[in-house]
Amino acid sequence: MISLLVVTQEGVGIEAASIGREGAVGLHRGLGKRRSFTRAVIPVSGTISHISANVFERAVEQSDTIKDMITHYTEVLWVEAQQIAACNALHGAEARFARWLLQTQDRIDSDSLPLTQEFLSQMLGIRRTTVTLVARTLQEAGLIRYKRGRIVILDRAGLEEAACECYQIIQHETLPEIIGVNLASS
Amino acid sequence: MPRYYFHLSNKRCVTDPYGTVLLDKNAAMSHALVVARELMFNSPGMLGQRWSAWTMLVKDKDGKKVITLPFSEVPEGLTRH
Repeated sequence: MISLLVVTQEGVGIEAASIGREGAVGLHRGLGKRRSFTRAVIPVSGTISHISANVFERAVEQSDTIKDMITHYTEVLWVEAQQIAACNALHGAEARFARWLLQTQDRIDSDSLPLTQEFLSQMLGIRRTTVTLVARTLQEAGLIRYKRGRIVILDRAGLEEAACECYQIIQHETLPEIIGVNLASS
Repeated sequence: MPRYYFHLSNKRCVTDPYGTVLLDKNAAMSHALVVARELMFNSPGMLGQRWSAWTMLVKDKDGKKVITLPFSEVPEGLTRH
């Protein structure tokens, strides 16, 4: 999973979009040299495929299929980014934290997420103290266990209830609606 | 520089085991206000209780209470950052 992070002049970060195995980062480089406006960070390590920019650019030139893929995935990412923008502006810290955990678990397909609170602070654009307190609350409610830098989701259904509606929309509605792919976690 | 710990208190307690290094008590108060607002922002409460039922307790490294901030006293209308 890769998170696209916008970092302000003050050095405060917030996630603008997240990309899992359904997508790719840097697709538009296939259309020509681009400046990147976001920082790509990897919340949880895993296996990543990569291709050299020049090789990809040549492949795109020769393939309408790849061009179509870029178009479709761009639409998915755009819809998700709109939702995340609204979420970051309008939803509470606990709801956004729950949404982010669920999205991450779905995208990397693991029960156990090694994540520092400092990192979560950058993802969600909130103080590290706030992350600590929100995480503790979710733990008190029996939804997660957070020990030694590792988050384990204990109650998925409960966490989905704690999350804002953005989780359902991004994870289960945008992809099937636009591309007809369903990567819902079991 | 001293480390301050920011806990939430109600009938239940939600503790901050790590703390944050801050310049002094004034900085701790500023931090408490920022965190309180981040918690309250578009959120009705925590663990089934409205925010007005909660208090933030700031303690020093010896566990001494340095600041007591009821959420009901946090001024509204200020931006997140």
